[in-house]
Amino acid sequence: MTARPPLKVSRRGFLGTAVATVGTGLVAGCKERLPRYLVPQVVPPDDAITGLARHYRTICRECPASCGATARVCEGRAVQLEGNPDYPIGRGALCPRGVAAIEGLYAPERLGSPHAGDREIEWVEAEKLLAAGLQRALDEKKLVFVVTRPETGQLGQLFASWLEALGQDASQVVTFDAMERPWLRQGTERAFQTAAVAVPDLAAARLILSVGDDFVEEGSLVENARALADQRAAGGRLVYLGPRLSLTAAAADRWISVEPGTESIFLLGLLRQVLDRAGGRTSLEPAALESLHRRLEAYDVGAVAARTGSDAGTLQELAAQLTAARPSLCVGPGRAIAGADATLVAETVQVLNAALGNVGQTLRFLAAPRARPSMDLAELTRRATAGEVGAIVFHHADPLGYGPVYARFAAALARIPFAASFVNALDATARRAHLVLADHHFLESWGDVRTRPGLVGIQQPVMEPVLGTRAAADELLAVARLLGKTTGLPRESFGEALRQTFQPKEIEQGFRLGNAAEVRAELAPGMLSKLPAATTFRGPAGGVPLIVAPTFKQLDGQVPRSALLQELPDPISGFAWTGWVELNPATAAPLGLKTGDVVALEGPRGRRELPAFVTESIRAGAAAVPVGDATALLEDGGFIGAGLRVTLRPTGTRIEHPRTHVRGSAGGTRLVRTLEGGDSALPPVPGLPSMYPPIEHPVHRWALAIDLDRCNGCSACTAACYVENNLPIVGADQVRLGRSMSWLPVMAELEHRAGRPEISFLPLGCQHCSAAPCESVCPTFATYHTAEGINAQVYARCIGTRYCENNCPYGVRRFNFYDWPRAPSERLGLNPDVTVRERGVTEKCTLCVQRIRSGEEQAKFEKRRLHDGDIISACAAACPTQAIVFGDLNDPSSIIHRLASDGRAYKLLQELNTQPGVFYLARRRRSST
Amino acid sequence: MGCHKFVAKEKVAVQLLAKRFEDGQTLRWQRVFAVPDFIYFSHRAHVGAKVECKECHGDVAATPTVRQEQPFTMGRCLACHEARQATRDCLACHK
Repeated sequence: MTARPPLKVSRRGFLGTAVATVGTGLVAGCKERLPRYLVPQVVPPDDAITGLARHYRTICRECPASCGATARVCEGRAVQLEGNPDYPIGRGALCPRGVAAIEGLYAPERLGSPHAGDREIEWVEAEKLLAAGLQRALDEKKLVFVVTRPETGQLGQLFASWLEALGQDASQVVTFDAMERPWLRQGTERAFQTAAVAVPDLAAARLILSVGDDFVEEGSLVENARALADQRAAGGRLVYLGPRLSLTAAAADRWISVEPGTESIFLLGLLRQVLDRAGGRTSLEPAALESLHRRLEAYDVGAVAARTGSDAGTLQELAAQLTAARPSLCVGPGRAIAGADATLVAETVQVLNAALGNVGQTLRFLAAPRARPSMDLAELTRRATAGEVGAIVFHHADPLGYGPVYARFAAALARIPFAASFVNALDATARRAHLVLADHHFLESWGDVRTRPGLVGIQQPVMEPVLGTRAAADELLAVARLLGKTTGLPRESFGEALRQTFQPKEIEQGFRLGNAAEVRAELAPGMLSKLPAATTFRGPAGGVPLIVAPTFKQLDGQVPRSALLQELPDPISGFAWTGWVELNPATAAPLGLKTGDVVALEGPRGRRELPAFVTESIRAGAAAVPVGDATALLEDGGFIGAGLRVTLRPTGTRIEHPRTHVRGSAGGTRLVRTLEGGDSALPPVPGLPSMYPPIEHPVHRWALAIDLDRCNGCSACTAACYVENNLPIVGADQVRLGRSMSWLPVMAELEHRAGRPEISFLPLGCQHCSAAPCESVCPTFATYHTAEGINAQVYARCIGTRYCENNCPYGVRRFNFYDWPRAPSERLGLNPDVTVRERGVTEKCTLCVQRIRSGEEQAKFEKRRLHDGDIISACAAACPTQAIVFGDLNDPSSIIHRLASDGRAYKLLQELNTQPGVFYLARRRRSST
Repeated sequence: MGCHKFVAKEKVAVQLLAKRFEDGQTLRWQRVFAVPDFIYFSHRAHVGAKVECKECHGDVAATPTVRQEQPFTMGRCLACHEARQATRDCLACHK
């Protein structure tokens, strides 16, 4: 395929202008036309049958967690990314960002060829330029650096040997990960004096205490979400300590908030309480225990309660519960509360774990191979400022994309004579580079990841490259050959060399599993020689503490470029296509702020305007901003969240709040039902009379069960539905008009229990009613109930009266106001099994009828009955917590059949007698401190 | 090159085709039979139900130039489905 020049229009601009032109009728509609030619295959691939999808196992490289992935490939193009059920990290699910990764393959802004400045160049010239830049640095006896995203496998080793071949030191490979939380590792090292990797086992803990750690929003979040759901289903509980009701806190049984910055004081008080209760049980030496006791003397209940603004009872009860729960687990601190003393807080958390007897139980240590010594960005900045660096090569690393956070590095970069950057699309750093090299997408290239001792994830190309890109590793090898410096480097291509290190079977399953030796770890005698202090906040007087809130949309700490991720509303605030600032009503009221009012936030280094989200889900006297939007406010020198104050000033402008879905206890019908403490079943609902004859489903009755106790609002289902069903991205303005086309939005409901706010989530799609109100009002019979229980929508019959939309009590039907624009490249990523709807028709969830159809056809072809699990809807497949279950209610052996008779099962608006096929399992509320 | 390795080798068009194949060049095959893109059609399902090729494609063996001789309309699909007592569910075909 030939290279295409990148579009000069940004994605957001493209959508904006394209909608406008379609709206004014300047462009004829984008009706899908029939291909006029057949697929030409002179040499057909061995294993490809036109019309049948193939599946390849690989690794998702969207964030360093590196979950296992399965790519669905139709006609040579990857059209969907799902999890790898056999891979320990992810276990069959992906987060929304992983689901949306497919979009990056076909994004109009993707680069297809190398660029020098604004000029598109050939690869031959690019290699010469790179070689010349390096040669100059070598001639002048200056250093060459590689700055890369985390590359834990063979590519990382290749960078080191490539530098060595150039006569450089291997430590000049700098790993850049803005969202790394180094304090967690450093705190563990201080507490246990071990270099082994601490692996927490969330699922095994009876009680988890999260110290501001939003572990279902950052880190290995898919894995954590599943572990937490399993832990809670087994009766375990979670207590969250932090300033705001994050997704993780919403999943918890109890949210404790203290004065921002005093979480460490609360923790020390807790440690003292735990030692008083369980001192004898710890493996601590008596002398060390005695000394720790002395140091904690000042942290008695009364003093801590007064200092942190909490009550003494909470602290004592939490200590009692932690001591009683065997095993328990403490994790953190997370970004939201990490201040200057984050490492010491992390150390305290680990000492608490040791005091509770969790080490070896829920906190295991695995021996890790010794890491290659390497410099960090600060060291690189120092050397570059001193003029020692002659050339730098970035590899999917964008330090300049974080506002002032790496300002010193940005200044140092200007002193480096030559910079090249391997990217998929232009980023802030690549814009400053002399040479931009268009790398393959991760779905087009080989690689491996070693994120956990004993586990190697294998990333294989699932398709031929879409554009004229080249693998970064091969370009580096080619340049080494041009320079005549190939000592110790492989002769063949990197991908070929990598492939040969794995068995075909390992590549097929997507990983290699080895053994990791467990290491015994004991508290170091000198642990907690220094106690963490409360965070002091710097910044303008009269400001409030800034809380940096991690979110699944911004796993790399940047506002996403992906249109799909932008369009997904934040599960709690409901904002899409914009950041926001969370303010408690008590903070917002004196400023006269309401949700949607734009606030100017000013910190010591920067300013940022964001719409307010006024909510009780944040403590009064603090302002929370999603991490990517907060970067503009942070200070130079690192990505530690708290410790800054920002002033809030209303600007007088408004951004209409697109949210239609967040319900409060004050108004509207509550959809989420809860099951209190000891109850095992919801009260039974009396049968209702119906004027219609009973509806029969003679063979199958396809349905969904959604467990609200497992759902944490992560929205992976919503994203997967977009990709599977070719849902259009409508852009910011249309979303604000309420025209988002999502078939399965996640609703949030906030309620107060015992005076404390709690949030539950509810994915709300078509309920597939047997007696559907939408069907009886359709004048053209475009919507009807199938014999297999699906509320069908035949687009070709629909004339767009929208009567159905009006009559649907659940509000789940969507109308196409436009032929939504798609860039030509984006059409390559469409699912060929699903029609692209046109302007003027109504649509909604089809229960992934295309998957049902192909599953049934496959079973018939193999002359066998359908088994439970043969067919799985896109949302159910994507769900990290397995909250969504798809199946046949008529099959007595199916999981969904069993769930339907669970005491927690209920149907939405049951009193309307619509007889939905979709049912929900009530959220459990356990009595908590 | 399947059948035409052996069949109708003397024809100019077939010789041209063979040459292009040997040169490794693709041929932009004109699409003759097509269903609209909002329709799901599976050959596997129809062959499995013992529908003969010529019922839709005509008697290709006896046709000098392949042409779509019958309309591929919903009416025709349904007539056949009804005659064979196959499914009449809209979603069997509408995707």
